[in-house]
Amino acid sequence: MMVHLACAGTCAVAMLPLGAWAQAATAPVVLDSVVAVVNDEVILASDLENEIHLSSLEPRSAADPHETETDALGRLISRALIRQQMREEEGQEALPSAQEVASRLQLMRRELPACVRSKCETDAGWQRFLLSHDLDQDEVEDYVRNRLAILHFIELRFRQGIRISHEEIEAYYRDMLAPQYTAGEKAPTLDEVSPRIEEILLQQKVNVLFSDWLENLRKQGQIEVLDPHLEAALGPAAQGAGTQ
Amino acid sequence: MRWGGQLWLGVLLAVWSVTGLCVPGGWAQAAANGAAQPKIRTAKAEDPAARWAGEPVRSISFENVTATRLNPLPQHLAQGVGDPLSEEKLATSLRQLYATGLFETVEVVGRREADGVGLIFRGKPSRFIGLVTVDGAKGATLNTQLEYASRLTAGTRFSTTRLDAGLAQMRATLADSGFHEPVITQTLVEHPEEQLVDIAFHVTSGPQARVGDVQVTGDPGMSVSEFRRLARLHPGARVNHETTDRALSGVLKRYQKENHLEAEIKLTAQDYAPATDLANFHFSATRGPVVTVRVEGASIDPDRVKRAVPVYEEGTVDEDLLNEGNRRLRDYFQRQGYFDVKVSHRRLTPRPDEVDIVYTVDLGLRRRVEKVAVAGNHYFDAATLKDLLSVRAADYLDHHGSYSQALVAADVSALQAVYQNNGFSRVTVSPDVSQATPPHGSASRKPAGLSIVYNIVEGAQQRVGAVEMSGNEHVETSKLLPLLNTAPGQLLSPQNLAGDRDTLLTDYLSRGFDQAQVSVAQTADPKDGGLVDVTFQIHEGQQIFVRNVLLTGLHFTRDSTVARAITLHAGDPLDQSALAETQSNLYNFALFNEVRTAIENPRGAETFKTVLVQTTEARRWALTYGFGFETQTGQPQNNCAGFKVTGTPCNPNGKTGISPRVLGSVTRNNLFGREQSASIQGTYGLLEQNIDLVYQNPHFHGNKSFGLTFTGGYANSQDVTTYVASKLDAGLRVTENFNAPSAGISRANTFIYEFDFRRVKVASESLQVYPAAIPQLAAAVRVGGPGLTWIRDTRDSPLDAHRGTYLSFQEFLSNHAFGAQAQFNRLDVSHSNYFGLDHGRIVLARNTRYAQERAYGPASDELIPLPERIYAGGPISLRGFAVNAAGPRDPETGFPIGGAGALMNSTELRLPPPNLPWLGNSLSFVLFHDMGNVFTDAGEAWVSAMRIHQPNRDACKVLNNSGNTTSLADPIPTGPSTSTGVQGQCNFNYFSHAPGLGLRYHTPVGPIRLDFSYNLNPPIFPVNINYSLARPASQPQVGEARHFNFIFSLGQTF
Repeated sequence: MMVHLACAGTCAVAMLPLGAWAQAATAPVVLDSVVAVVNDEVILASDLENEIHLSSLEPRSAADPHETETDALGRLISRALIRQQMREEEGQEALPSAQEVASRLQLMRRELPACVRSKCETDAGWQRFLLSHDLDQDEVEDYVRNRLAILHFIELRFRQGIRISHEEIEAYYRDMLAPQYTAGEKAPTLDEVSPRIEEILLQQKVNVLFSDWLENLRKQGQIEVLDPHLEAALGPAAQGAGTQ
Repeated sequence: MRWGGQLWLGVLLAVWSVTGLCVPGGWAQAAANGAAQPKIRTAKAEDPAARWAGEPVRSISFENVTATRLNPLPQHLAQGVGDPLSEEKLATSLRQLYATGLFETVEVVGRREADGVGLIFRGKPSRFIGLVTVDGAKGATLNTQLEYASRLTAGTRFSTTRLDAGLAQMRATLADSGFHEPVITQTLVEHPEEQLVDIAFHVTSGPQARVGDVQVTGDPGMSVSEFRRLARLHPGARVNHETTDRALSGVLKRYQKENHLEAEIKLTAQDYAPATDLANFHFSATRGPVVTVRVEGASIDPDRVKRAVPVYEEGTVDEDLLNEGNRRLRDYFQRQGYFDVKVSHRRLTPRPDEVDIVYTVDLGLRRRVEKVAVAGNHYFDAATLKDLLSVRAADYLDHHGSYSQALVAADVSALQAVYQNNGFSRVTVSPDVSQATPPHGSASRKPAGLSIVYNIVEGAQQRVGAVEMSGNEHVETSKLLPLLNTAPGQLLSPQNLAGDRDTLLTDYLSRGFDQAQVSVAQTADPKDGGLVDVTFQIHEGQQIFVRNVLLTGLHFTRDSTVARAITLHAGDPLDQSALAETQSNLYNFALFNEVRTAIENPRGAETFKTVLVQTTEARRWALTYGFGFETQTGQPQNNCAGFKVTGTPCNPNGKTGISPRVLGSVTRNNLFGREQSASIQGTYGLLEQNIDLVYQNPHFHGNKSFGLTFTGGYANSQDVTTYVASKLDAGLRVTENFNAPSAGISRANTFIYEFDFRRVKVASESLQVYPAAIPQLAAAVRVGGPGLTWIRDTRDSPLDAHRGTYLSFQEFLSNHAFGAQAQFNRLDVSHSNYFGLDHGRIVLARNTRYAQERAYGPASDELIPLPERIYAGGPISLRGFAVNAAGPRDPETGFPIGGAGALMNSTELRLPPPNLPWLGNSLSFVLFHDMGNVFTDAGEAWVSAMRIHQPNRDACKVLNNSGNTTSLADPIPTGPSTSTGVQGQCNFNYFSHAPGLGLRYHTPVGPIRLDFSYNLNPPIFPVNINYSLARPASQPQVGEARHFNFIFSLGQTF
């Protein structure tokens, strides 16, 4: 009897997790799904999750401290559009060399704010950073490689043909730089800073051209966000784009 | 630090926002701003896909879209049954499934099973657009316009977003047509088994807007009322889709007329007031400066400047048009011999409201291309190579020749291409231009000579070594190699290789590989430098097959009628050319107004696809009508007796006149739901009136090669000045074409097997023959028997041929055995040749016709009925004669009576159109020569060919002066009796010659023709009886056919 009771008690205790297990066995669980389509290129929930996960490698401003799914999806859409253009214009994506990737990785370990706090400059600090963010070295290298390829493409596509006139450099020096120095503080001469001002203006123009180009790609492309909660990722430029 | 932060703050912010990768300064700045840690993804332990990773997948199933429809993908999914679950493979599988296009949304769910994981791929199935119809809109074509405006293309993905966008487009189209308050409803009919949805729109147009207020801003340079007048925006006028365009073009036309070529005008807004149904228009107009164009440095007619500088014809000024002006002016002066001419332009603004476009021309020396030669050529002869050249030496037609740097470059390319295509891949061609010094200094008007020699270094000739294929996994090499022109040992030809690449591509496309790519790799044979190995590298891509062919739109037409037109069937490779052939076959039935073909889910990666064939049947009743006329000297005039009343003289040569005609027909197409038609056709004109019943079956029993036609009707014709004939006839024709590839005979050939039966009668009161012959010739006669026509047509264009040949051979036998009263055999052969001369600019055309007719049987059958005889003369035969007036004539009246033989030849030199003011190059000239005649007997035809004078003309001048009475009992003519009656003493067996000049005004439906001919040796003939006189025999005279004739008609002569 005791045995039976004991047995009954033991069985009762054992039955609870077994019942839960049986319920879990029959209840279907969504493993992955399509959340958006960019010109026939699919973005999956797992892609989105991965993008959020990798956002720990990105600097964020105080005004916008948290990564949201909408932000991440917007970025994935933009990158998909750019990669499609890269394939069209270059035939195939030109990946950066291992040396470039390693160099950029070192820079990241030195400069990325989250990394600075984890003392990533040392290998031990870097490993701690990776572990704390559930990342591994290959993942990070892929991240850097893909983004470098995009940066190269943008630089190549938009820098060519931009000319900065001397008048523009002078205007920037006069209106933007010189007023930052207080009276008595010696400002650098125009000749000293001309090359750097030219670079700033060049990048500003690249930014403008790039933004217009990307907006145009979004307008002309066929972008479909299948999850209504993420539709904000389409952005104003993409509203009304074809969904065929 | 300040500088560093300032420097990088603005750098690549936009790039960062999308790539997430920023430059170091960006990170530094973010750190300074105290950026927070981003959200970390779900821990792997909480993620089911990660938690179950590595566990075996025990089952895979699909929901909402069947595995059958997805076949064969389920067997090729990245994540397979039995494999360990993998996140990457799940992601790839989802991408594979979405790429089929069959899912609108798709997800994968997992369920624990006893010893692993079961997977279900499920989602919302896609729907595709099926048939889109629009009805109810006011206006003849508005429903069709709305259908296109919706942009809901058959076969593509359906979504509510696209439907809404389509509705918005339709509303915009209706608003353009003045309908601002339409009500559009749509009915969706789902076909879930095919994932198709048909959309039927019904439109209630509502009131049509009328023109209300017009406002103009800017500097229009005119009052609003004038603007309104020019824009044709009359108050209260209905607004339609042309209103805005017409308004803009009307005002712009005025600006252009006043040389305000930079004027800008646009509709800025159009608002509609529902209460009044008025549409108010708001325009912005700026007339801009007056633009003038002038040329400096050379003398040129102002009108030519206007034609050369396209700012006038385009009505706007931009740099492209001005550069085009440079080019046209340069071409013009180069045609004048100034080959080194330089043209530039500049834009001046002397006053704010004036713009001067000044073209500066530096003529350089005037030259004449004396010589164009090739040197160093061994493989090709010089004549062959010179035919390829665009630089041309001066000749009698072109006083300066043609030369420019561009032409020289084109010649070099042409010469290199012809050598390279014959294995000389290393050929070099270098032009050597030598320019002579002007004879007496640059002031001389005599052009300086210019010679050009193309020096050719041929190099070694290469041949094809091995020919191989790679990448052809689904098609055996043994099936592909026979398709190629390239073969080992052949001359290496880039042209052949390109052609073979296209052939392979076409073959792959026909096998359903719509993404196939073919490239050609050439490698020098290491052992033999003269050989080049060729490899055709094929990337096949996915092969697509037909799942089903859905044919819609048949209401009256039987399925069996169109079944044979469908060349694609379920299971076949999806061959785009077969689909185009299906569409073409259906159009060829002439039963459909529109046939659209589409592929369901065109961008999806399905292996089997559904083909949509959407037809719109044509109206079954068709009414057609037309009007035409021709004018000429020698118009038949065949009621001379009737002219007595009016006193109008009657002439055997006819009169100068116009013969108008109207044509009409009523046709019932799609007879019995088949490719058959029945029609009533009628013509009413001065020369002919007829009405016919016609039954047509163009593909008898579905056979593409045979057509059946039955005709029956009544005709009244006055096209021979001698009589009015009536004809009651019936005919059965079987036409055989040879369009099938396996026909064995060229498709240029057509055979017509026919049986005709007719009753012909000549109205006795109209007959202009000697009195004693009237009873016999006026008697009604039955004619019937079999006939055969053979046509061989290789002309490039039937309306205006430039090369090729045309042969027609017609044989007809009339015999008692077929119920005929007249027995005769008629053979009529006509052959035309067209040769292109001077690179096809000039066409030499020739036509020869031989005809013979022989009566047979008893003596009572000897006389061939008048309407059945052979006639010639007029617009399409001998232009030196009036219509059907060549050959034998009645011995007493002088009217043509036709013959039993004919031989004639026409030669035309069709000259290239000159560039004429107003007419451009629409008008061209023709020099022609017609010779030949119609004879009493075919045997006379050949012997008469060398006879240029009418034989024994004096006999034709012997008149019968004994008939100065009212009696017509006499005279009875004498002379030989033939199958065309008693011939009298006057002989017409000789060749008439008529040179002439023709004008051709070219139109899309063929040239309009005006021919002037001069008959060098027209016949004379006695006229003893003139029925238009009160006393017909009272004024005997000698008649003569006209020397001068003109003809105005449509189409080339032959």
